Amino acid sequence: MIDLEQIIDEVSNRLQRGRDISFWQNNYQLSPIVNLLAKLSLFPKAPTPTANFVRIKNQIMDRISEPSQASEPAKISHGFSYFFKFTTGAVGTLLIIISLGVGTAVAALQSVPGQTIYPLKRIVENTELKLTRDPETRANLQIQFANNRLEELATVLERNRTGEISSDETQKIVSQTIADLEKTTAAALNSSTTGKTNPTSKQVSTLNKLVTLSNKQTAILKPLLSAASITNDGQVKIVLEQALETSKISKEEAIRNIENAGLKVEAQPITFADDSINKASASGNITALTSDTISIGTSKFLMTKDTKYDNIKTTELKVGLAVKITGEVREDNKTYAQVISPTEAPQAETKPTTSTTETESAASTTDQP
Amino acid sequence: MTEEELKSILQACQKGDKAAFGRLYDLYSERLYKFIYLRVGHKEIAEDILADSFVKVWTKISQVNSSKAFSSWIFQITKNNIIDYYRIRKSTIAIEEVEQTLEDASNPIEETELRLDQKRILVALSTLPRDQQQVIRYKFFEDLTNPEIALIMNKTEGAIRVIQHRAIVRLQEILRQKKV
Repeated sequence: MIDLEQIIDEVSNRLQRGRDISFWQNNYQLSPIVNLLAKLSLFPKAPTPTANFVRIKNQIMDRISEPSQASEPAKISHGFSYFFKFTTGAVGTLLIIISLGVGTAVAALQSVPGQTIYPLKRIVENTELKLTRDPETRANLQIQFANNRLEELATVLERNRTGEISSDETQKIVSQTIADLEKTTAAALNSSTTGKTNPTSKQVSTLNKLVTLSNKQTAILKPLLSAASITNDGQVKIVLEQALETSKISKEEAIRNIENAGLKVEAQPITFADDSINKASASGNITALTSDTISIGTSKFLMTKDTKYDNIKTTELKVGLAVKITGEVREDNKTYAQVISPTEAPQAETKPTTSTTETESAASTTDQP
Repeated sequence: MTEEELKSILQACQKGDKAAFGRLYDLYSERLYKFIYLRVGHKEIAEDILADSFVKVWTKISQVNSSKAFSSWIFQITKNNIIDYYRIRKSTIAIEEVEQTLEDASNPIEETELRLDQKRILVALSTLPRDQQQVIRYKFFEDLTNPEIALIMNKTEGAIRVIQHRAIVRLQEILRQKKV
């Protein structure tokens, strides 16, 4: 009794190992099946690009030779500079959970708030921070992470601009990211300035980085605050104001420490490229009016003695009137009206009394039998 | 390599012998790399997954009880790393979908260079039930062994032999009817 299952398995295994199968081919009962197996084994295989097995082996040997600081070994990934960004000295201090795998780790480090994998990025950062004891290294890491938050902010805002994420979601993400940024900056300040009466050159370098970070934060966050002020976005405004305040304190403290060391601040200031960033304008019907504030929808402006009224008197201002307001956001992060002028065409929502009368007349005309 | 030799290498690895581990790498790297590459389609990613898999093997080598199980064990680790890769590329993808993607290697054979009789075999193969097709592809197009195929398909080796037998008999019958 021929055990065909066993023969098929035996022949296919021999074919895989390049061994002779003529014994079975010469059996007339088995030859059709055996010839089919031979044909299957001769199918042309798609070329696979050759890997650099020697390099990979060396990499593996390096990784398994590193002292393990936890149950998982340290991970270095070739060709992914994101990992190297996170190392600030001894490679052995870098621990990324190995079960993530390469694809996971890379995607995590490239992610931004709002993406499913983003929490992994924060876990990686926090893990790295926990394992760093040297205050200077910690400060540098925190500055780096704060810079990461700024980059993420820019990406999230761009994604909102292109319509990938909604404005509501963007608002939530921006608020949280800025709050995280503020905490990280405060932590970086704490690490870099605590007890530094005579900072070393390495410490001064960190302090300069802190000043640069503060300048960068101001350049990025101030326009956001302008936008939040115009849209009266209370939640975002609060976190922005806090972040800017922390940034300002960090900068002042860092500069003080640098100067105490008898050195000059080397950090480059970051200036606004566009003066219009501080400008604000709104056009439409007045929706709210007090003695010193005027609102068009969610855009609220403060009126002062410097506010100019173009072709309109202050006494003529009233809710429902169509106006155009141009203003600016000042140092206190409030929006001030510079010029208020009436717009030419009245808006649809409100009609002057005369229009209403005319409409009624027309209506009564058409109602006549 | 005989089973005894493999057993000896594994025992040395379990004692921390890195040179022995290097030998293990030499034995399995090429096959594993090909397996990975056919599923991720990218050389550098495949290399990194390969490296990750071996590092994981090293950290968990004490868990291997027999040399017989080693091959399927190392494939399991590699398979999990590939799954992680896919899960992250498409973070909303369900694990079942990933495993299905994993089962179907992309283009293991060079279809542009097939002879007419090979093309007919391929057409006949496509009419077989899915599991039979998969066993034939894994065995003959990817050169995987029965234990490795069993691992990928979550079946026993005995089941793989049965499927293989049925697939070949069925394939032969179809081709005979078409007089190839």
